[in-house]
Amino acid sequence: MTKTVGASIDTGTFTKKKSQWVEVWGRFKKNKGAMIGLFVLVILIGIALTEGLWIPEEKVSTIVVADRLQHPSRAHWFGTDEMGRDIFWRTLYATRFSLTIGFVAVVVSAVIGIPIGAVAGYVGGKVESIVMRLTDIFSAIPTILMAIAIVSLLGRTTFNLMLAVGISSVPLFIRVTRASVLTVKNEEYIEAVKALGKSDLYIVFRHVLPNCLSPIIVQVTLRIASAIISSSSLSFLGLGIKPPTPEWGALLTAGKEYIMGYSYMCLYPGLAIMITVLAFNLVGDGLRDSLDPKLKH
Amino acid sequence: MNGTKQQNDIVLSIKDLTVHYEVDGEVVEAVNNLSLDLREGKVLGLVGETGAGKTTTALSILNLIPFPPGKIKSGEILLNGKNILAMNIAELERVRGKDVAMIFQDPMTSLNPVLTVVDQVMESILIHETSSKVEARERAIQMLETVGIAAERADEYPHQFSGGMKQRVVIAIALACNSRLLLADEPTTALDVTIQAQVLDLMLKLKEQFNTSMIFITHDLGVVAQVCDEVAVMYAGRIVERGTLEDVFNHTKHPYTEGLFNSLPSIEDRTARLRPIPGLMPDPTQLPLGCTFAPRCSYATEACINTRQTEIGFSESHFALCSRYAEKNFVIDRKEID
Repeated sequence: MTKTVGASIDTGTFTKKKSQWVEVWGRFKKNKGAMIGLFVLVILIGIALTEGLWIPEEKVSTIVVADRLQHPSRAHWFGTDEMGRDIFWRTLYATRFSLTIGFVAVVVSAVIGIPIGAVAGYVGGKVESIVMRLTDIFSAIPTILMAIAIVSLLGRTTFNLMLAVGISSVPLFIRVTRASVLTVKNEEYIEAVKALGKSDLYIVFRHVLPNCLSPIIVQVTLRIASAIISSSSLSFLGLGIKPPTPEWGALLTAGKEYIMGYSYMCLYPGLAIMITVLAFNLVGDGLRDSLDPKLKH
Repeated sequence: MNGTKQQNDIVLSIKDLTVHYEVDGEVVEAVNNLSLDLREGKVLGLVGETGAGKTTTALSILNLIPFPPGKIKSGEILLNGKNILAMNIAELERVRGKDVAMIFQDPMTSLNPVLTVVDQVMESILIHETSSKVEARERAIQMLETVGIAAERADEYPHQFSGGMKQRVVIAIALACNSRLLLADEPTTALDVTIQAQVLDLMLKLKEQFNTSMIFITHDLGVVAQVCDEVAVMYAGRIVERGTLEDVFNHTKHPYTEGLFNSLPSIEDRTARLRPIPGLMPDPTQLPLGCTFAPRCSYATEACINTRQTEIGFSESHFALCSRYAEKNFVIDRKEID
């Protein structure tokens, strides 16, 4: 939605016009929580992108049986796991996989779910009934079962894992989008645009969807978190990332067996997930507020 | 409708339009056998109380009756000679906004809250005039200035404007394509009187400037007197009286129109009591066979209720739907003013 900057208009009083995104950023900056979230996210993404360069491979995957199940110490900041691998490095190294999984899975479900939900809600009638009943059928299948089915069907690769997790949360996006489209499509300004002779497709994507963004953005940030966790369940079932490669969910499930005596094995990957989820939520919240022009101060 | 009007300057011609809403087996007869003509550059006031079918008529002209439950049962709407009701979607999209534009009732809700006002004015230009974005923006800003909104406010959002300014933005959107016909659905109802006067002035000025025809829907007879050339009074989905402003205001024929005037406060006699029309509009799902106004009409006879009405002409332009005029000496109480 980049628009031509109004500098070309030579009315005398016309001040330099900021583009919409500059304005959004200006409002975003004022939100402290969102900035903290963004800061954390930038660090996490930075780690994810550069970790191949500075994390020594042998620290992540070398098995030293003598060092197994050690409590956090100066040598092993987060302790070691049941095979003597350093949990600090493994948690750090897992950032890439976990973030990618969370992110790609949500993009997949949003890209599929939002247009379907929007069209279903806007068109209404039979189309809506059919889409929504199919959605109901889909959501009757447990997420994890569906993901298992998809992964077994497509083969066990990281991408298929993300696809599976993404597809299994499509119904959620269809529902959320449809619900807010239903309220927006009856607004008078939509009728006014129809009276101007716009095509329905244009109206849905330019007028209806932007007014439905808030619940969708919140849904996106929440789903990133649950996608990370779903993919860990799949890892646990042996359908996710192949074992030596660390991933937060997998680390968590590995630590679960030792939680009585060695709770730190769950603590640190869990904290990592929590911090990521919190950061996404803060950013999502801030984004929603700054995208909504009505809240402009 | 004696064929005396010249055919070529008729912008809009509605013939025998009937619109029903069908809800749960009940049929709401919103508009019944409505016919009217509008010539270029004229303003037609469509007057009537809430629920009389004014807005439904306007939406029919755009073919925007929500279906279901709305359904255009019969009739023809000729816009510049082409029948709107026979058009496919692509043709309709070309006509809407280009040949006929609409100003909606409530400026508070008829602007999209997430787009800047200039974007919304640009839209109508971009779709119908195939101009570049820069050019469209320039024209949109010009249009905003025409309606009295400064260029530096163009990039603000609707919530930053007052009600009167929003209505002006809505008018700018409607006018941006120089459509020949403008449907104004109670454009000033949501505004206070000072802003109302401004907006009306503006609309009249713009009408002169662009030679637009207008259908002005309102229930405010004062506004009608100020802006309209012709008046059609609607009651329960029918036009009960139509004619020039002079005809309807000074030579009122229909008892319902008389009732409307009686319920206005008089400026000459400030102590006079208002005389409201007794009763309520009939249930639109069960309209009587005869005159729909008969149950509330002090002149009504048995025959009024049971027989279908036909339009009676008083002059070339003045018609009323009242069968009492079949009697030679029938007159209503309201005095004729010359």
